[in-house]
Amino acid sequence: MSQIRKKIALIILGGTVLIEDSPEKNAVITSKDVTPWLNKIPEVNIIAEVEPFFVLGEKETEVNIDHWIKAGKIVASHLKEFDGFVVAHHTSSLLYGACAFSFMLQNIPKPVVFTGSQVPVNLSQEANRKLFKKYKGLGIKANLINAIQVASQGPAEVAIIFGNKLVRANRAIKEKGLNLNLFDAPAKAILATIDFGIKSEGQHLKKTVPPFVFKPEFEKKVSVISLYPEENYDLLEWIVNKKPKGLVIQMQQSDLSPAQVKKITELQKDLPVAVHTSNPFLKKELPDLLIVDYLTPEATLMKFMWALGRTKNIKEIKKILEQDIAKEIGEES
Amino acid sequence: MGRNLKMRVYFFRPEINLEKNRPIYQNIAKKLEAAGLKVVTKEEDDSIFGIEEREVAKIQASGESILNYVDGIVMETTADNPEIGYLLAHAVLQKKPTLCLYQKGSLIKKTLSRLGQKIPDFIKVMPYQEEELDKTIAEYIQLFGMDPELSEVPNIKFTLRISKKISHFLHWKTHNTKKTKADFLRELIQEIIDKDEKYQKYMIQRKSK
Repeated sequence: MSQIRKKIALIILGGTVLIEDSPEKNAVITSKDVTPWLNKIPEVNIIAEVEPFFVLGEKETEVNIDHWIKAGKIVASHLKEFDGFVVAHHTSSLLYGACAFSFMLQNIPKPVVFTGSQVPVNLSQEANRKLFKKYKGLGIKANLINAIQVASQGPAEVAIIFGNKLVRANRAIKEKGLNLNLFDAPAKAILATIDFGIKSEGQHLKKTVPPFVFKPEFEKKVSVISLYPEENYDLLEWIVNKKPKGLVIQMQQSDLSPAQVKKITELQKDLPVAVHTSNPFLKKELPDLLIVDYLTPEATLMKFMWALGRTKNIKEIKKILEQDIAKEIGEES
Repeated sequence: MGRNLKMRVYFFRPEINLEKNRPIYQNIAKKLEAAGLKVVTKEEDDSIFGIEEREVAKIQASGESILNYVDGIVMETTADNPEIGYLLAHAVLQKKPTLCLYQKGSLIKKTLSRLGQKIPDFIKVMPYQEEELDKTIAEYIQLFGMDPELSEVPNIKFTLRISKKISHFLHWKTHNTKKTKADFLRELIQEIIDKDEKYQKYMIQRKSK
């Protein structure tokens, strides 16, 4: 019985540093480095035929929404050609990128798996050696092998794999510091674990029924501010004066003071404002504000930018935010 | 993490025709055990047999793959299976002694040819029949000790005469540390090996012969 060889697209947005030798020689800096870099990971060819797509190299500019849209277009336009997609990404902004993907690529019928290296490209030889010792040289290589295996047969959705855990991208939480399992998620958003193979949870393997749609419109001019109990509005005023098209307020406290409620109510007359909180009771107390208590901070920002890309009407935005677009709203909420 | 000193091998048995092939697999496992290996398997209910539950939980919590905690892999590769490519990829990455057993008509050599290089010498691809199994396993277990470059286990006793001055230095260097003098010397030699480009080139040439 011969199975057809799987074809996987590998989209490169950084996160390519190997930890075997000098990191300088082992990362994709420009598009010319892609082939020699892939030649250093021949193991992946055993699993599938891997075709690389270069978007961004190490040392280039910070990843932004335009890079994610460009990468999303690669997925949308090559959907039929590949069995799955792997995205190598810088870990610093990976969560935002993966969330953006989940909203752009709605009802994606194939797996899209984000992974990367936790090693920065400019690390010293000594630090590199220490990492090599700690991670036994397996960092990006093992992650990539796991990601390609998941992309070949895993759940049809946008996910992240690091260490031995596959998690739903828009419900993932980044762990602090260096950690093999760099991303975690609530139990229902853990899609698979790795023991001697990828152990998928059956229900996640169901193929999506609704048709795939590519919606890459994002409002880029959105600001984020953390709100602390101190009622110092200078920074808020400064941000508002920059004329953003939307504002996300990340609450660092459980409740809003009456003065803060008044300020946000004033602001939202001219500007869509989403208030992200972990307090599940605030929404009922303040029905006139756009309170988001059911998403991760990263998913809130990317979904808000995506909703603003579709409409500027605050009621419509609220409706979109509350709608489950890509399994980002947990069943438990 | 304390563990039995026996070499652990993960024995992959494809689920296809498992009932029919169970006696064959049991026989292979028995012969692997008889050859002095500790056989680890994954059962149909996903439980791991051959590693203590507590150790499995500890490995999983660390984010590592359990594959990092076995010394070798034995696979039944007659039928094509997506798990085989995955295990082979990790076997190549981790340079684990691997035995690919097959009956007739396996695609395993074709799969391995995708590495774009000759099959590494720590991977053995062998057809098996009951009467030849002992010989096949005997060849496989040589992989664990056959190539000293693959082994990092300090099991060779080496007597060295040193001066009082060196002894004094070694004592000073390791005093109040968790390292023994032997650890210190082993690490020093390992660093020299890692940095010796000529030796690395020599080893690459030697392996490619």
